[in-house]
Amino acid sequence: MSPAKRFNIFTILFTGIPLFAVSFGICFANRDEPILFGFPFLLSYLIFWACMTPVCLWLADRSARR
Amino acid sequence: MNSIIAFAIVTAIILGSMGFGVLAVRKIKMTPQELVVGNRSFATILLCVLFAGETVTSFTFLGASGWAYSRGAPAFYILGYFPATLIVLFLLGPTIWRRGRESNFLTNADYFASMYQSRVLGLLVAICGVFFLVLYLTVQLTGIQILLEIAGYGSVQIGSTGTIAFVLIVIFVFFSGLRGVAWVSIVKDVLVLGAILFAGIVIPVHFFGSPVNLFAKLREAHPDWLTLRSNLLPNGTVWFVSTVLVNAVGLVCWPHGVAAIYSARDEASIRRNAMLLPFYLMILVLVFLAGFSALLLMPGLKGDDVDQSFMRVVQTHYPAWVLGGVAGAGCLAALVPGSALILAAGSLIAKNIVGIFSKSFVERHQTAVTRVSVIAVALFAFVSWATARSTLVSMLLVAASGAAQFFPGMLLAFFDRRPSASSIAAGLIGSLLFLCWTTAVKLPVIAGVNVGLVAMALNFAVVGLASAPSQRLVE
Repeated sequence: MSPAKRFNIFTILFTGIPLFAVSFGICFANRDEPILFGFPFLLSYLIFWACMTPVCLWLADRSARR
Repeated sequence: MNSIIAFAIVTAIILGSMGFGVLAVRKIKMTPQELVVGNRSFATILLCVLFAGETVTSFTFLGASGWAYSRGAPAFYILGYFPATLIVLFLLGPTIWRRGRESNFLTNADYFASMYQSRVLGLLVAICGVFFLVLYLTVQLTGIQILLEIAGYGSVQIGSTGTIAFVLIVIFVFFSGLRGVAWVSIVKDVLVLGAILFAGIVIPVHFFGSPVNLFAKLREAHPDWLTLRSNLLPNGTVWFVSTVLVNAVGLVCWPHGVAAIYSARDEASIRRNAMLLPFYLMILVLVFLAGFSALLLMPGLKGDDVDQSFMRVVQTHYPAWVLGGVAGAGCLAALVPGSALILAAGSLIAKNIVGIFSKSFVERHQTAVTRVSVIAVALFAFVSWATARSTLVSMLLVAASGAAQFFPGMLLAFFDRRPSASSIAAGLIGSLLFLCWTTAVKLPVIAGVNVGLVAMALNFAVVGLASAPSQRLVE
């Protein structure tokens, strides 16, 4: 199967969103407040997306298989 | 006395885990395919520890805490680029694996040579790859040196211990191949996890009560430490975004990353691996906490010493056996990727550099040639590390952004209508010359953008321009 066939709109969406979030997205998250559990917001934001990446990839995998 | 205890523990950890690696593969017959890509048989778990072993190196261990210590928030880019590189792996890895399996590739240069039907392009990629790998290997050697120096409490002659550690690496790679490296990665991951839990939780709790208090103290002492500087300044937001993007392609570009992709059993293992690894990478948060703690406990380190920051805290405030355990875990975090690097470089030399001149000879004796190349690469790296360390450090920037310049060639091979081999070569050479120039004039950012990304844009542009006329002729 060629890669083009595997990729559909959901694959692009579910890989594109976390990729955007950890790169360009930080421009909107570059602040200290709100402070969560003492952590600066920028760090909490990156931790959140590092945890969301597997979820997004799992969804992308499921949608590609369908 | 302290140094003897710490050294004994470091030695026991290194010898024990290498023995484990060699034992794990003792019944397996060493073919070139087994040596370099583990016979393409690694399932999800072994693949995960291999990728984790290759990405969380001593440089992450010491460098990430060092960055948190000396720069603050810019260190968080590591937490941005790991998910990014796994997303790229998820998207491109399966296809790279499938092509590798269909045509029996062992190296990333094989991929280029076959996809663009040019062995000369393969040779160019191999030469650049070996050069980058040797530079990266010297980083790991420096990591081992720092850890041994600290474990020696300043009393031990480091040159000789560094040499011994290095000889061990070579012997290990020679016998065990990539499968042994993957098995040792398991031991390494457990120990590194222990060391990082200690550094990132025990130290902050011990000295500050909790990580919350650590951050509160840090805000008092360094109010601007936890956010990035704005826009175009060095280490500002633009730098952060561009650095995450240029590093995101790392796993599918570095020769040892490509070898790890080939070692997978099937495409699904690669995708599952990309889904699981981000959880493991959470431990990096603890490395930042260790670096921040060190900043408050032991301020004033400058220059290269910042990389030793949290190890110095351990050395000053904890008993020798703790230091030995942490330093031993750190040494494994250098030896595991070091082995993968040497193996990748050895296979590039055997298959794509020597092999191009004497194909029949290499085919008959490929395992032996790979092993000899492994020793040659290791010796070359060691001698250049011992004699010209400062030059290497400055060239390292070229290597870090340079490996990313393989990306256009890797990506464009996915399409049915590919650019010519010569245009890929032109893009690669052009962008590398550009990187050499920026390094020579000490220009790490252009308008806030990481030069690696600028070089990649240039790379794509050159490929586009060089292939445009030929396409028009076809039409």
